[in-house]
Amino acid sequence: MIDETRMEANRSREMPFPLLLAGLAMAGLIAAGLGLVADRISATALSGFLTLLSEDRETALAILTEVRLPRIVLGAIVGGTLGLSGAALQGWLRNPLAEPGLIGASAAAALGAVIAFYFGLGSLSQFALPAGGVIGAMAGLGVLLLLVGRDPSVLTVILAGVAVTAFAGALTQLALNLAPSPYATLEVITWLMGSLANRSFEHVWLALPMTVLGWLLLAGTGRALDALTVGEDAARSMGVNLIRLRWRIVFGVGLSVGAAVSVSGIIGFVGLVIPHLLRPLVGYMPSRLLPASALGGAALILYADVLVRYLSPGQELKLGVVTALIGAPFFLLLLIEVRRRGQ
Amino acid sequence: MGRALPLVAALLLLVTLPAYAEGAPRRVVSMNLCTDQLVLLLADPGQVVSVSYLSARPEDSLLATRTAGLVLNHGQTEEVLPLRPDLVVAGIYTTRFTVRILQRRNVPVLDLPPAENFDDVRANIRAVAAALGTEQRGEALIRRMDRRIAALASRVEGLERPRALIYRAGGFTLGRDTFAGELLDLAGYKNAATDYGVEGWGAVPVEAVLQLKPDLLVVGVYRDNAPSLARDVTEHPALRHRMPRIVSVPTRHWACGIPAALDIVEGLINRRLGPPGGTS
Amino acid sequence: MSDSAITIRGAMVQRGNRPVLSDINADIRMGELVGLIGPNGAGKTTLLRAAMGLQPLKDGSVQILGRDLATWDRRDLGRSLAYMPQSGAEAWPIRVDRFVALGRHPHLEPWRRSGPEDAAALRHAMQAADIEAFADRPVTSLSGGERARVHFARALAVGAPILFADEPIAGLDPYHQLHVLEMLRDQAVDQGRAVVVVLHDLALAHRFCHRLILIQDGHIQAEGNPDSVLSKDHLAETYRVTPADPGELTGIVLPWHRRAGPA
Repeated sequence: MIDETRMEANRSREMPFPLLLAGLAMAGLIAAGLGLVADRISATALSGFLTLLSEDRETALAILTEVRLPRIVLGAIVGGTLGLSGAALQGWLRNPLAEPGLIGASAAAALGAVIAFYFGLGSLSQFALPAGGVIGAMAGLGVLLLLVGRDPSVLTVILAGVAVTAFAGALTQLALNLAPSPYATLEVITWLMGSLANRSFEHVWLALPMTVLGWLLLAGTGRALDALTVGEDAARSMGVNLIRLRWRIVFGVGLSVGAAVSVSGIIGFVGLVIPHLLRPLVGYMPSRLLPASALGGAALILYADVLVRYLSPGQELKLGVVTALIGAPFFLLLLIEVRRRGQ
Repeated sequence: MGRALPLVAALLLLVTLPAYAEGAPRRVVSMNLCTDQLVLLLADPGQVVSVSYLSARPEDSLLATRTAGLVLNHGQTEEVLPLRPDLVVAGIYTTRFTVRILQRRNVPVLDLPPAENFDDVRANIRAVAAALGTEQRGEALIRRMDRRIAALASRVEGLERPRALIYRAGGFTLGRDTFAGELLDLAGYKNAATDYGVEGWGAVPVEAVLQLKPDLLVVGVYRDNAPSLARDVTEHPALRHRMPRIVSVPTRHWACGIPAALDIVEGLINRRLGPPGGTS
Repeated sequence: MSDSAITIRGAMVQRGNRPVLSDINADIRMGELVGLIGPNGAGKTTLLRAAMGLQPLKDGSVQILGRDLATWDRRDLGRSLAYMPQSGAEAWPIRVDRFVALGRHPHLEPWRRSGPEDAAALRHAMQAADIEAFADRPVTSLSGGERARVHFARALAVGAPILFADEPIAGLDPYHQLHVLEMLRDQAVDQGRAVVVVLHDLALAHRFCHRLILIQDGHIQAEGNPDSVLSKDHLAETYRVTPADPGELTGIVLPWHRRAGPA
């Protein structure tokens, strides 16, 4: 087989699993440390953070605990969610191109959040925003399932995702058209670009309950996803309940991605890139890919955020723009590879 | 609002002045919130047919009460043409396609740039007044504005100039070279955005605001209960707990370069020194 | 009967309004290898899926080990029957030993790691399928015959008394066709399992199966020992073919034994 040498090469890339997890966690912690104390970020024309720490300890500590810490915690939550959701969706659809952004879950979550926010639901409860995101994401996944039917092939899923994304995007624009505030359009367009800038612990508490619930649902899918490697009927013959698995994935991705998008905006391609890079390192086991991708996604977002703050302090580049700039070409390469292998 | 009273008084006075000149436009349409306000201030009753819909909203417009009976337009050609306007006033950055069509149909159009300082405000007032044929009223308005500017300036003259930062939804600030920056300067404040290298319009992250430590944070609000994703930034808990003084200024007061923007200046000075009668 | 593995009574399956299977009655006992044969689209795979509880019945019943399918707990059922699908649909290039270990799924408690029993079952299954030599290779890098053996081992690792296989030798070379069928028959004869296999090759079906069930248009056309089921009449009726006369057979090669030794 032509694939043989390639796969042999992949095999040798597998790492001891605990070591891999520890390495990813370490990488994330280093990024978090950089994001916390880095000197020259977010401070054009002002003294660097370390200088500030010696000159004005109180302000420096306030920046550390009230501005940078929530930003990093939120980055880890959002990145972990995207990595975990991407890995779960790919394992479930047995399709390396599935990703919350590409299959329309993120766009649908954004739609839900926009509707919840601009039509006054926010005054009912502060959780209306993440709840709107969650409901939107789950509705998007529901439509995707209807479109895909029983054939989750690469092409069907991508096309259905395009359809869901386009429709959710159109409805978001419709919502903006009808929004009571003329400033809404500009705000939402900026917000949709995805960013962690200027977030506070209020955002963390807003997103955390639903994301954690989503994580727990997804974490329990590992063995069923492994069993699916054998094929659907064989998995069912071993007692895997595909209907329950589907609901777990839809609720898990819906809750975590919906809540994450509602505080960070759309940050694309993390759920695509991270599982793909890590898959050979976990020996292609879908269950192992879940925790690895969660840690990897968190680390990637934290590094990307540090990069964004370092490259463009002050008026930052939007994180979502940067991940899309890196992710879109990556997606194209992946698509070409999948097509070539499919021949 | 008490601050708006002098303005209303001025308007009542102006209404009784002699009417516009012969040959002046009688069917004026304005298509931009800021040009609306100048037109409403300078035109005679009956001279204006239509203003933009935003001008009828109290949260956006200081002159909402004066739009009763007027047609409200959204800058659409098919709304404006049937009104058979003999003058259309537009902002140079808005409703460009409509303006193009109107010009092609030989409708006189007055394009006004947004005011970035008081000289621009004076120029805009003169341009609108000239087009409406109410030049004297325009000059009177400018004189009143300049007297008010001088009076406000004298109240803070010689005083120490504290540092203030304008902070608006999305984490944006306005520097010295903007109309809002000029208002801040007139109110006796130094613009802290300068310390961050921003002279025009720019973003300031929350941690930089903490580091800048302005004596006053002037937060722009659209309206108190309107939901806004970006307003989260101005309500960041780190600012709420640490900024010594935060004042909120409604957008309608400084969105346009009109004399009523001086209400902001007066409000800021009163806030610092107390009402004019109280101390002097 | 204690040796009854599968009992099907009056089973009917519909797709839309179209009956795909109707009035199916069958008994499969422990220790026998039963072949499901029939032309394309006859309903063989549907019957196999119905017997495993993967295909809802419109009417009738299926009993597994004497208990109605509907009363089985899905996990218990997962330990009682195993399914060997056609190879080629492996989703990810995971290692052969891990692939085979997936067969232990119905035995694993949630959040618990696998134990010594699982390791023993894995070892035994890999031995029986003769795949230890490439235990650490990615499953997708194997040849079709090797992959079929891996799927066999995966199904065997379940340790279930009943084994189903859907066209397990489709697309395999003669060596592997013989190898896979020998392994399946060993499971029935030596291990006493009930083995149901869907086959297209009538010669191999005749040679390896204890009994055959011939399906046509969703009905059981004939059932019994291979000689009676593969009669001239049945072949003509269901398959629209006639067998060769012994005199015509010159020049026909029929692979019969595997050569021992490495490939």
